[in-house]
Amino acid sequence: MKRLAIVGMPNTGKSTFFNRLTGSSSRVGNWPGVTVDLLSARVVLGSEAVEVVDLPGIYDLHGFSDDEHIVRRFLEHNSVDLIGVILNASQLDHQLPIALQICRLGLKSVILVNMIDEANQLGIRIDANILAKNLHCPVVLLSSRHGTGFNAARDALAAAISTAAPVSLKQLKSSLHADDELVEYAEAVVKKSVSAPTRLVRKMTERIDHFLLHPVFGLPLFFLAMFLVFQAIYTLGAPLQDSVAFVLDSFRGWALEPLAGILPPTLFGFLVEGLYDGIGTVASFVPVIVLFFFLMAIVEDSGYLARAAFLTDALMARMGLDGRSFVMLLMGFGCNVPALMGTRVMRSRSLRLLSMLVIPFSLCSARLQVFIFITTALFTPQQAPLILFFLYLASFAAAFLTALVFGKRLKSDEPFVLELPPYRQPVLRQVLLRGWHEVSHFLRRASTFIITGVVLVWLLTHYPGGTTPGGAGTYASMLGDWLQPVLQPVGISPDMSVVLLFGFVAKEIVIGALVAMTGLEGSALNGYLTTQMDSIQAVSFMLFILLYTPCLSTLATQFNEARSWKFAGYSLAWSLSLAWVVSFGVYQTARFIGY
Amino acid sequence: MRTILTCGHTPVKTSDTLNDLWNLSCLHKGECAMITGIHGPDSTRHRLQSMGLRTGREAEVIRNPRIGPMQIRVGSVNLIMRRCDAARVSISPQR
Repeated sequence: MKRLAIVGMPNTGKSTFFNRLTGSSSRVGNWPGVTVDLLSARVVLGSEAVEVVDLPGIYDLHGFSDDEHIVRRFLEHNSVDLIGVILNASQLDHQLPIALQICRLGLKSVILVNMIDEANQLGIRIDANILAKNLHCPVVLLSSRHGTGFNAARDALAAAISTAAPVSLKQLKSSLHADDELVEYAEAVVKKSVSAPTRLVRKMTERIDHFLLHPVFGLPLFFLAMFLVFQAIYTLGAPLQDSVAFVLDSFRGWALEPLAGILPPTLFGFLVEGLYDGIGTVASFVPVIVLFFFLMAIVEDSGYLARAAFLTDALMARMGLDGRSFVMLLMGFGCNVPALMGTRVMRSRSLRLLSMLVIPFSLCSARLQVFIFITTALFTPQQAPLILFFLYLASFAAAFLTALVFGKRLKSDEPFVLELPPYRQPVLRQVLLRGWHEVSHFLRRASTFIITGVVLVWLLTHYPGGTTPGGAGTYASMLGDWLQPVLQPVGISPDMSVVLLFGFVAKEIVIGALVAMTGLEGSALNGYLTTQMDSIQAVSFMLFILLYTPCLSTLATQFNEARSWKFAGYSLAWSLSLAWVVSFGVYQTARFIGY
Repeated sequence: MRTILTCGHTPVKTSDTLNDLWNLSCLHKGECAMITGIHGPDSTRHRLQSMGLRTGREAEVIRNPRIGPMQIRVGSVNLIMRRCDAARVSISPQR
C-alpha cells in the first residue's frame, strides 16, 4: 500500500484537512522509530489504496523540539510515497521554507495552500501557477474548513501518488539544506506569486482581543469563561453520567441478574459484581470526556486557548509551568483524565510531564461527591462549606507545591513562544470528530489497565471467602489491618482503610463500597461514619482521599500519555507520600493542640 | 534604558547574552524595530527563528503589559513570548 504523510505547521488546519480526507475512520498506531502514537487512516485515492498519516505540526524540519524530532524519525524509519504539505495561505512568507525543505529532500510532494478563504478576506491574492512553477510541484488552493477546493486537492494527491515511488531517507538531518538560503529563496518566490496588503489588518480579532486580552479585565473574563465551561461540563455531564449508569444498571437487572441462578455464585460475583460494575463505573466517565473534548475543541478551534495561556503565564512561570498548564489544571476540576490528555498541546516533554504530575491534585467532581457526603454526615451545615473551601485550597496548594518541588528536575529550556492565531468560528464537524477520536482512544488504550485494576480489587475484597465485600477475613480487611501501623497515625480506622482501596479504582465507588460493606444506608450510614471518625479524623481522611491518588483511569491515562510506567509509578509514589505527610501533619497537630 | 531584565526568578544580564544593548523586550507597545540578531543556545535560537523572528525582518510590539508575556507581530505572524525570550532578540530601533 502507498503511504501519504501530511506535514505542516501548527495552526494551518492540518488536522481539519486530515479529518476531511479520512472521515472518522482514522485510528492511532505505533510506528517504527517514533515513541508517540500517530493518527492514520486508509483511504482510496484515485485507483490506489493509500495509508494517510497525520504527522505532528512542526515549524521546521531542522528543529530541536520533540515534535520535530518525531517527524524526522518517522521519515527516516518509514518509507513514504508522497507528502502533502499544508500551508496557511495568509502566512506564506513564514511557511514556505518548510515546504522547500521537504521538496529539496527529494520527496514527492503536493503543496496544499489552506485557509484560502481567510487570506482572500485579508486581501491576499496567490497565483498558484507561479508558485507551482517555482516549487516544481503541484499547488492547490483550498479551504478545508468549508470544503472549497478540497476535491481539487484530493485529485492532485491522487494524481501525484499514482506515479510516486516509496522513498526512505537515511540521515535526514545532514541532507537538509542551509536554512538561510531556503528563506531567501522563499522570500523571492512569495514576492513573485503573492500580492498582499503591506499590513494585514484583522479588525475582528483586534477588536475582540482589545477586551479579552485587556490588562485589567482579561483575567476576570478568562475566569468567567473557565467557570462557564466547567459549569457546562458539570451540569450537562452529571445527568449524562447518571443516564449511562441507569442504562448499565437496567441492563444488569434485566439481562445479568437472571444469570445469578445459572452461574456458580463465585463466577457470577466476579463477572457481574466485579468486572461489569467496575467497568461500568469507569464507563460513566465517558460522557464527561466527550463533553470536555467537545468544549475544548471549541475553545481551541476558536483561538482562545493561546489567549488563556497569555493571560495566566505570569503566574505559572514562577512554578516552572506555563499558561497552558494552568488551563489544564482548571479543567482537572471537572475530571482529571481529559485534562491530562489536554496537555498534548505542549511541545516540550518535561513541561508536559510536570503538568501531568500537577493535574491529579485537582479536586475533581468525583472527589467532590465523596467530600459532600462526608461533610454532610460529620459537620454542621455552617461548617460544611468552609471545609469544602479548605479542601479546594489544599488542592491548589498541593498542585503548586508539586510544581515547585519537581520544577527544578523537569526544567523546560524551551522558550515560551506561542503563535496567536486569529479568532475563528469552530466547525461543528471538526468538534464532533475530535470528541469521537479522543473517547475511542481513551477506551481502547485504558481498557486493559482498568480491567486489571478492577479484577485485582475484586479479588482482594472477596477472597478468601468473606461474607461481605471487604469484610472480615478478606485480603482487603487483612490489608486494612496490616496498613494500620501506617494509617493509624493519620487517624484512619481499619474499615476506612478498606474504603481507600476501593477509592483507588474510582472515587465514584467509595460511597457504594461503604454501603456494600456495612449494609447500611441513609442516616444509618451517617451514624456509622460518626462511629468511625470524629471531625479531625474526617478532615484527615478527606485530605488523604484528595491527595493519595485520583483514580485508576487517571493513572492509566498518565501511563498512556507519558508512555512510561516509571512516570506513572513516580507520580503515584509522590501523591501517596504527600497524602500521608499532609494528613499526618494535620491530624497530629490538631490532636496535639487538644482537639 | 534597562540593563537587567528579569524572567521569573533568574535575572538575565543583557551584557552576558547580547551583543547589543537594544533588544525586543525594551520596546513599548506600538513600537517597531528591525531584528539584527538572535542570541542564546542553538535550540533556542533555532526555535525563535523558525517562529519567524529572523534577522532583517521588522518586528512590532502589539502588547507589552507590566505582568505577563509580550505580543509581537513579525510579518504575517502574531506571537506571544516571555520578556526573557524577547531579550534574546537584538534590534536596531526605528523611530
